Amino acid sequence: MKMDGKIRVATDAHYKELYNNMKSSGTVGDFHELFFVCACLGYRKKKSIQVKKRDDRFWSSTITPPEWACYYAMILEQNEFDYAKVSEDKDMLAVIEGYANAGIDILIEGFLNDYLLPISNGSDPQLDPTCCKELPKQFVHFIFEQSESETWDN
Amino acid sequence: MNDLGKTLLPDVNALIIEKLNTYPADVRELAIQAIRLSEAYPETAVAEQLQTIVRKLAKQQGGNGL
Amino acid sequence: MILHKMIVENFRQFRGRQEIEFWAPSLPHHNVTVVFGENGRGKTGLFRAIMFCLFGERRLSQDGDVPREELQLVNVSALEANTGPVRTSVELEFTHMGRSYRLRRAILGMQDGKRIIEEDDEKRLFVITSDGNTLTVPTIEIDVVIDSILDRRVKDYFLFDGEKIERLTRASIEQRREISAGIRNLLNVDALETAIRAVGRVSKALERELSNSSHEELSRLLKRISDNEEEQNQLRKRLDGLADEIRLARQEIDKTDNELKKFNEIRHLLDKRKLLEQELKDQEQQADEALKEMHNLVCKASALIVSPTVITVFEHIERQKQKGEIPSEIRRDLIERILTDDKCICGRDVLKDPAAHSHILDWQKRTSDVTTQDAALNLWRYLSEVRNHFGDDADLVEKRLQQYGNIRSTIANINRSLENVSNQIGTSERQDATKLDEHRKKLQDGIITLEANARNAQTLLEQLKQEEERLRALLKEERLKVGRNDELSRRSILARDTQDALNDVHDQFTREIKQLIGQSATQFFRELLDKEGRGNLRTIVVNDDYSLQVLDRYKKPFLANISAGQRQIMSISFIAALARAASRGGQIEIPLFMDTPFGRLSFEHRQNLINHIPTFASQWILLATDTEFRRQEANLLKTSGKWGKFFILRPTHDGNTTIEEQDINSALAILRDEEDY
Repeated sequence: MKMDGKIRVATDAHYKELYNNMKSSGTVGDFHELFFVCACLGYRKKKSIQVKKRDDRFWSSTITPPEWACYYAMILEQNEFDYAKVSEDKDMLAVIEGYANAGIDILIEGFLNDYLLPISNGSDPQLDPTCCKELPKQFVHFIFEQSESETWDN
Repeated sequence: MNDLGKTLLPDVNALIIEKLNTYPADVRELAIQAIRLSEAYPETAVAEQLQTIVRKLAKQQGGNGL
Repeated sequence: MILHKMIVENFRQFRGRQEIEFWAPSLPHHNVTVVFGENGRGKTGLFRAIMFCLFGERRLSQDGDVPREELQLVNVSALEANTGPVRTSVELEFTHMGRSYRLRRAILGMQDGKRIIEEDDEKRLFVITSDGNTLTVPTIEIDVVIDSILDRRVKDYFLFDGEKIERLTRASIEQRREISAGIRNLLNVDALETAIRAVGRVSKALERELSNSSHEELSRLLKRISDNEEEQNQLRKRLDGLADEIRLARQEIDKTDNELKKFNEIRHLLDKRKLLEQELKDQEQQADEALKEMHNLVCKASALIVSPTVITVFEHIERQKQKGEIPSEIRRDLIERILTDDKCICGRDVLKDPAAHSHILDWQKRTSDVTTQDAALNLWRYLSEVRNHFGDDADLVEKRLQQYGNIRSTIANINRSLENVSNQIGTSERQDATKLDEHRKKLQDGIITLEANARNAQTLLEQLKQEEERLRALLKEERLKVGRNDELSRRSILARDTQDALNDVHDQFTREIKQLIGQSATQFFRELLDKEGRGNLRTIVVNDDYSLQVLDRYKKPFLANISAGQRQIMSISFIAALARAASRGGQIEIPLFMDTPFGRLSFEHRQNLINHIPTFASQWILLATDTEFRRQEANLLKTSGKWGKFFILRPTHDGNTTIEEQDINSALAILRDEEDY
């Protein structure tokens, strides 16, 4: 639990373009933010998918303390408060990568699909720049909706 | 507003050279030569003269076993 | 620099020889001059005359692409009344750093068929020394002397015209371009920029040479980088082209509007439409800015998704704390030592006492190592902070989404009203007006498309930049692999590293100047803002992309929420900061000309401008129309004790203008009250 800034955090190479698009369209400020959204979504739906083709996306030094705190909280809750599971940041982030990887699928399925270029056989998902004008607002709206349904149900 | 005055003084090139102090010697040398030449010559002429300087610096670097 | 007097002869609207005195030796601290006149009477012409006299310039930044023949300086009536050439001249008397100067510049205007030809005629500069002697400066040295008093590259910052103020309040490519050009002019780093380009050339040439070498991967990467750069260049050109097209389309709309104004019966509708369009533009800008700020909410909203987890874990640690498990009362290392040694600190053999032994084992379970305890306590603190913000964050996200929704519904309402007004204009019997109106609508639609294209191009450019960065990192690795000892490779690396270093230095300078301009603009902003604004707004920031932003007291971006008047004050503060920078940071040493700056300002803002500008500028020349300079403003100015001179520009029967000096006391009788409008 040192908030180690020297770890390379990876996402699946399949989502590289999408990560780039979300940043350059101004929907998120940086990669770690989108990763955080996806990790939260994956965790809440209790879904984790192992990253198949690792592609280093950002340095852990960009993760903010509140984000770290949420990651530690997720792992602690999942492991019945076993502090040993959060002692190594690298191992912990590897687990979070799994949640984020599942989370991006949830994000695409539940929201981003309407903003993507048509996906042909196995091609990487990409934003369609012609329909992204209001994406930053819709994105925040979608996340907020998720938080509301999840939080108040519990 | 002294800082502002400093940035806007006409000897701005001296300040640039000061900022280049943190770079490796050969990079600094080439950069300074480029600025000095640019004070007097147009871009193409500067580029031509820089070719020779780059060659010389790269040779020295090789000679130093880098 | 203090302007004393200017004499113009046959200069634009000013026929014959006319004089204007900006400063009276008998009232040395009265540094405000008001020049009052309707639009088109030649208020800006006075600034033009000064710029012509100082630098021989005929074009101001606001002239844009207006053809040279429309910017002629010679008075047309004088030319028509004369068979021969007409002399047009401007003579300026001023003091600077304790020295007095007299500068005169003249041209000869001639009619050649339908064309008017203007030729340089005379340029003379006299310096009057403290002992009263007059020295003539040799002609070839005049420009050097004048440039040392006011650098010609920054001359435009001393004219604040309403249009420039308006332009800077829009978050557009034009705005960013203007700000970037302003800052670039201040930097005075021509040699550095030439050096960057020259080293870039060398680097490119070496990369070309290398790409022909035998290293296949290296060649491939170099080729991809070169293609990427080419694409970026094309996109930049395209963006420039689009910005030009947008500007031209706006100019064309203004022209069309002037044409349309001829149709008097629909004039009120046209005015209404203009107002609605302005409102629409403001709202759309607010919507854009609100969208730009949305990404700041992403992490806050996401944390809400895992709020149950955060709360559960926080409460668990809290319970551990309450039970004394964290930090534990007994150190784990102590218990472990007791168990290993089988001896308590009191010397008792613990193994012989099963009850004590089981008690110690129980303690061992409850303690954790010191590092874990510290980490858990830290985590408890962070989670407590995250948890405490949940309520505020949810409110903030909801509020921002709602605000955005409100802006969009206002836009929809304005669009409906616009359609309504346009329909009314369209049903007018005047066929010409309808045609013009269609033309205007096409232009307006064109601008929307152009702006969308520009946004897409900008996104693409950002993506290419990211890709280039990645390719360069790969290239560096590859080069180190294949060519550490290869001289050509060493040369190429050196050239590229040097180009990067020079770019870094350039960036540092730009960053520094942006910060300094931001600080200086903030200072003006705080002085000029109204009470409400001062309570809320704190800092003006020049963003990395050269757009302007204003931060509230919580250092959060707030531009999307400020009023039109506050925006104008922000622009004025920014231009004043540029003017101060151009004066090398102290008092603004050059006369500030403000052309109709009060347009959309509240009385409190006007009051602040009137009270503060004469204190930070050596001289303030206010060019005003009757709709913005009224008895109220005149009263304020009079009470400030800074108002020295008052001139009225009056039309003559032949369409020219005469400059007429009035006593400032008579201004109150001439001007009107607000109620008169």
